[in-house]
Amino acid sequence: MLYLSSYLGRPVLDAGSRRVGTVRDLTARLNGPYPAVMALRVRTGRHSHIDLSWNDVRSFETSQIILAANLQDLDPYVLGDQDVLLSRNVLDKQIVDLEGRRLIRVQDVQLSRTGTQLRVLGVDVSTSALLRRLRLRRLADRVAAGYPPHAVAWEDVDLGSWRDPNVRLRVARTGLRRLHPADLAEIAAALPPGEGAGLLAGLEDEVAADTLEEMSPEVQVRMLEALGPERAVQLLEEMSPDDAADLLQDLPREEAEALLARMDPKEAEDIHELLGYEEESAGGLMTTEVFSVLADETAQGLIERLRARAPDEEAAYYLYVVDEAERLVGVMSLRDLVVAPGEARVAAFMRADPISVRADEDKKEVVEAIMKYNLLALPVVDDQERLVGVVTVDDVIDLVGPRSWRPDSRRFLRR
Amino acid sequence: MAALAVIGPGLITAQADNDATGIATYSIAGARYGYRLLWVLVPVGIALAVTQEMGARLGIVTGKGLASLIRERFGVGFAAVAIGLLLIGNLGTTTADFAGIAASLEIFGISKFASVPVAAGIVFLLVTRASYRRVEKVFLVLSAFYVAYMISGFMAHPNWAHAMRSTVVPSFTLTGAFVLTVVAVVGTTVTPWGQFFIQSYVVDKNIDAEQLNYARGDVILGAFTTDLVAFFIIVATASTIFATGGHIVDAKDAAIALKPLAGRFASTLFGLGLLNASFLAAAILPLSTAYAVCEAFGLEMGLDRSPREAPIFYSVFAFSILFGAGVVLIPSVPLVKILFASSAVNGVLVAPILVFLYRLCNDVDLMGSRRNGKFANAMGAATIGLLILLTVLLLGAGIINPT
Repeated sequence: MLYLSSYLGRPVLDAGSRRVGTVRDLTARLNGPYPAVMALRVRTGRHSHIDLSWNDVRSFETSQIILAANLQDLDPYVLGDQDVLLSRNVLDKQIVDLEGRRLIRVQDVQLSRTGTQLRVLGVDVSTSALLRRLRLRRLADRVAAGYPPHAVAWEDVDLGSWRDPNVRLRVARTGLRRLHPADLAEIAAALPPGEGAGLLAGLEDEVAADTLEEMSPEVQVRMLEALGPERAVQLLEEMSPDDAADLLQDLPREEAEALLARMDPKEAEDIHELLGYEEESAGGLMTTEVFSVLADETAQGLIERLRARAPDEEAAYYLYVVDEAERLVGVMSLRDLVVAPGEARVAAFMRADPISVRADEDKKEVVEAIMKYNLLALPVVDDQERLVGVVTVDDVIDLVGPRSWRPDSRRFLRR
Repeated sequence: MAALAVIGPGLITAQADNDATGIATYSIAGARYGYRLLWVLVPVGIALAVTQEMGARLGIVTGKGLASLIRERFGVGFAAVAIGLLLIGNLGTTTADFAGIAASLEIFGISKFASVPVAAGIVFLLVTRASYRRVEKVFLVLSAFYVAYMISGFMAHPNWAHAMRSTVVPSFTLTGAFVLTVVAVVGTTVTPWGQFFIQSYVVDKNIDAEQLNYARGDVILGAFTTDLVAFFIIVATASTIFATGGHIVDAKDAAIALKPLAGRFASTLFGLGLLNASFLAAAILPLSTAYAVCEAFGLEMGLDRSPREAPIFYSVFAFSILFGAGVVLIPSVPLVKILFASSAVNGVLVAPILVFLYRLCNDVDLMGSRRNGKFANAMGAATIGLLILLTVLLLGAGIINPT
């Protein structure tokens, strides 16, 4: 296996075997799964270097590189938009391993030789590569024997530094789209806040909002503050109202008010309503996005209405039936609806007397009801039995699961 | 509002700077040489302000920690050197903080063989159970203990004319002991870990580049506070212990400096203050060392990982505690000397770290228009040069004229 580190610092000789400098960097063009090395950066003095096209290289060994002509007869290579300096921009940097879905540091860059070409295969992230670069060869071999070297293919790499896109990488960063918001949340939380916010800023609104929802409250606040009010408002509008309300609750009061004031009035109203409930109550957990149904609708009509509205995924596990005073009178699952005859009235196949909780009840009651009755969602009513919202199972899992039992450790040192 | 949000890092780092090693080092300086070393505080204060400003600016502009930046800009070899220096310095400081815990509790008649293992256990639990944050504020509030030195300094009726003259007129003796004391005074203030700490602090607070000037003000205020505390510790010890021809052998001796204020409660006050300062640093240092090592080498880290997932992280953390506590438990080891020695070690180690800092702050790609100006470069270079000169003098004088 060839490594970038084995070329760096090696002597560069011209056609007449005169030493012109040492290898400072290799430039690869980022297209295709295995980018080709396009140029060589030669360090010619303490503060000077020259870029030379790979076509001007006659032979390249890890012991030395020999040019095809004399230095003064060669034209300098001009870096293009797709070119990346492997040592300057990749080696030793933090990147995202899209396959392993985590943040890693590039210990070395793997290269492969095909004829006169040198191509990038991937990045080596293993401890043995680190030890090898520290010249602890024997230890490196021993570690490599125990833990086989771990490399990430070039295709599965996203080249970090989201805060500051000035690292001369103008390559489209599409890789992150492959990741689930939960993984993105974990990666963004592991980065310094500025970088994490930069990562979020580069995502589409919807993905960014989902990612934000997956973060712990502490990290959410940090991200929102780093993103700035304009972008924060966009993401809050995109989030489901209950998650947005939870987040705003964790912000200082004036900041939350300021953000609400900038939001779309309708979204803001929903959130305002939710903010009125105690955080630890059913009302504090629920979302107000409910799809409610009247008892005299037909199954066919309802299915068509659903298609037209296309409600959010978490709002459509169950459909809740209300009377003309908005009082909760029945429930049906999507299965109930789908298997019902098209002309049947809702009243005929809904289940009456649904399980529900009052908005001011403690969240413990919500968890108990959902677990006892194996529900995916639980309707929330006010003191006049009117349907005001729904708590979905995903809001409850976080309360009972092992996920948030440990605080974010890094922040505890420095806040 | 903006000012309030930013104020903090410099002041908190300054508090942490004046840890147990600071108390011990300034006390020894005052007890041995009276007011003579006060002048050192002027260049030290400037050096602290300049280096902390550079660290804060670097963190604010790049959004990255010092360990990350050294790795990314200078490669893995230099990162290993920097982290190696940090590790040695931090092991020294951790040991010193356990020595501080042991020394302070000995005042209350508690043997170090009881106090140190218990303290190590408490530190381990506080940090791994992450309940440290809840008690951290208590530590910081208790740092107000330093005010006791200011009051005591006044009540001891120092010879102000003499003290002020010593602050502005340098005096120097080329003996090993004198140079060592100067190095220790520098090294307890400008430290490798202080540089790593301030930078990760501003990174984690995600301070905007627009707020740079507030952060600067904060850093300068912090440096001034550190210096002021140091000044009064030296004045208080000089006008009590030095004036009566005393020496500091153990913590009880150092407590005499608080007699003018606290009378017969001086030992209690001193013991509690030292305990608090030691504990604060003993809880922070092992963990921040582990983070720096893993950040630089790209290893798994964080208390949310299991020891199996992040073996090096936990190893460094546990080793720091065990090493620190272990050295202090050696039966005849002199506790106060450990505190003093760790300051001197940090004073020698910090120069190379500052070279990295200097280079990074001059990196145009990294810092753009916010790179070091002529003033910062001149001051930075002067600080580094002075530190190297002191190290050379220390080696020279130590060999030729040890006392």
